[in-house]
Amino acid sequence: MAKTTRAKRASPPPPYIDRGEPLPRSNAENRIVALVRSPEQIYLYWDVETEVRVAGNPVVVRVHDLTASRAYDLDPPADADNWYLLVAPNRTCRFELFERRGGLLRRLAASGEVTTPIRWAGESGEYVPAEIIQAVRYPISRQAAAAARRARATPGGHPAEVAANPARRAPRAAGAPGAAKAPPPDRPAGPPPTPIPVPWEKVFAAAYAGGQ
Amino acid sequence: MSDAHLAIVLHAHLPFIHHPEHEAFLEEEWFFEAVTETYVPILLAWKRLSDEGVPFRVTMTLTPTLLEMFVNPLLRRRCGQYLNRRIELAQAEARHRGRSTGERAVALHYLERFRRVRDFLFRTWDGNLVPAFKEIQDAGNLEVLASAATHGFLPLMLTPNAVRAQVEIGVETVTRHLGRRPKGFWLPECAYRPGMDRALAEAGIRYFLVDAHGILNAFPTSPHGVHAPVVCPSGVAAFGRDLESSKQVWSSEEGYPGDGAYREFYRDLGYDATYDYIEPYLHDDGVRRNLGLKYYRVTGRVGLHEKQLYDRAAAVRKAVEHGGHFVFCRQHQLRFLKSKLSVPPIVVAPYDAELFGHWWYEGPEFLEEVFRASQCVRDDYVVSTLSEYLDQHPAEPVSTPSSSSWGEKGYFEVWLNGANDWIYRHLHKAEERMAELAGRAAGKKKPAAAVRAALQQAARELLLAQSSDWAFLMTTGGGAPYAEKRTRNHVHSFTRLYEMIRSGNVDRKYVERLYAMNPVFPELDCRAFL
Repeated sequence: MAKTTRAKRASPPPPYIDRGEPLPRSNAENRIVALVRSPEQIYLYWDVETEVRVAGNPVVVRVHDLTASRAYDLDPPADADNWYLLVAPNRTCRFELFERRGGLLRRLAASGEVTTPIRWAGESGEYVPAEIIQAVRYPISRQAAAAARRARATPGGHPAEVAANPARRAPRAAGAPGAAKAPPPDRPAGPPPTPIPVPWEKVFAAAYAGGQ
Repeated sequence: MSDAHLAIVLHAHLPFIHHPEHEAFLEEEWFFEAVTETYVPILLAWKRLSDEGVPFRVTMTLTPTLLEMFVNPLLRRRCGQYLNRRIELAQAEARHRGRSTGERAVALHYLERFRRVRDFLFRTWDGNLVPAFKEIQDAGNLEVLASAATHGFLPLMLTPNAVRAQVEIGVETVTRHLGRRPKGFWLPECAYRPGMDRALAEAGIRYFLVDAHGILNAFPTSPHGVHAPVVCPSGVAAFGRDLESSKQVWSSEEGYPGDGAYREFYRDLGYDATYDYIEPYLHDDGVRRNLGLKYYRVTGRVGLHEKQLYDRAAAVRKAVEHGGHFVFCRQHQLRFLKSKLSVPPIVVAPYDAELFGHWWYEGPEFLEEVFRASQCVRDDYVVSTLSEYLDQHPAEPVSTPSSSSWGEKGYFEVWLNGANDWIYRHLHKAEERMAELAGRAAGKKKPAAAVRAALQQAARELLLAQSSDWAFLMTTGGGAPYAEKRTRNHVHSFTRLYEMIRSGNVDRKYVERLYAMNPVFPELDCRAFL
């Protein structure tokens, strides 16, 4: 009887989901790449050669803010290989990757220049929610969408949610997939910055004034 | 006739999904649904307009992946099977004793609709919609835009070679299918980064579209706002999206599709019917899903169980009414703009084509009415394609649009966040490797046939991995496992091909197998990656 109860309680194994062929975490080369994400955020990712990785020396990311003519260093956590950097709109930046050896820095790689755009002073809510686009273009089952929403609502369930709320980030074991995505200390602690609420009619009015 | 313009721009796109290794594949149904509910109903609406002699003008993207799916024999056959299954279900519904008279009327509507779609698709066009669109293009009513080869998200690519290849292969594919070199280009997701227009200029493109803030934040600022194109330093013109007309259609709060008379998208027979009855019509896994037979209308802000029965005639009347309202609004908007702007204004209204018919069931009738009613207000504006506008009015001033996209929040957040940022290091590496392979092949006089085939396939794998759809689906979460699988598998295949080509040891069968899985861009020229 007890055996039956145990059998009933045992949860079924999670269904196998094919997420494709595994890809290497590193290409064993020194590089740093910067991508503009929004007027306030630049995404950085980097990779190091095997000998640097094996040596276990920390890396330093040097930010050259060319617009403000200043530079500063970021000290990412040891297992991080990417970073969402908060910047101001309309800035041009360049990045360098260093290896810290004792008190010395050895330059490993440099990124190209990237420029953040101007923040749009439009009204919020102009954009079609991604859920609607999904239903329009990629109609999947509602159950799957609901499951995805539930996963997003669970702390640590969805990486996007985690990124926006570092405080709610579930701890990850070292070596687990995504372990290297440590929370960058300068990520926004609250919700992402909201657009400045200037009604676009005013923007137009100003624009058309020039056409008269 | 007036010198103010309205341009309706439709963007039809689906990622290339083709799985010959399975009897049936769920994600392939995205294509069948879009054909049944959007592409054919839109073509039928245009045919009615042509028959009436209404000189409508529409600008439309048919993305290269969508064109390749239209001509694919397997997908054409499976689309026929899909339609047959829907017709069987509609017949069963029309005969179902448990249905009320009103429900049977709706079922008969679906039966008639599915049969008409099947006749149009297979009797008239042999399952291939490319000549159907071409006919309308050749009649002068449709201008087809090019787009990136696989709808790659261009601003997040690392090398200019990768952007150029997406643009060139996209333009070539559209030219091959439509028999005419496109003049305009739809940037995937309207995503633009300053300087990208150079790749468009090199491909002979005259104009592209960006979202409103791309133009409003352009430098230097245009005095015409979004209602006249600017010209980039490369000489390519950029049109901006008009927000007012966009909101009227897209907005879930105040947009037309939310009207109570229209068909409710979320209440579907796939969920309403008893399981035993509906099971034969479900996918192999037996999970309830939308089957395209929806008996209810939006009704109002009520729960799904409180929805009322759909009345097709009333819904079409409402679509006609809304079409008239849309035209009335454009008439007044353009009158106002004409009084304020020093150049002839244009309202550019771009929409996802799949919005019409698939999401908003009565959308094709709405569009039809917009074109028809616009004929009555020719003193206020004319409906034009974008290149017709450019032919008459040169774009000015010289200005560089700002980085932007039409995705949520307006920039690149949807395609670059914690759910999908891992893909970029792999895609960038593959971009560089592809440029290296193309460079090595160009240095040789004539590479062996096997190497050439492997090189072409490597290019295909990279392009397919770059589809913006995968990053998008990873963000929304719904189709994430499939999107991750596609990205990983294409990058993996690319890397294997790269290693084969470098070692000079090409496995021909492997290359052939990969091409059979994703038969796109048969005449791909790898020099595009140089």
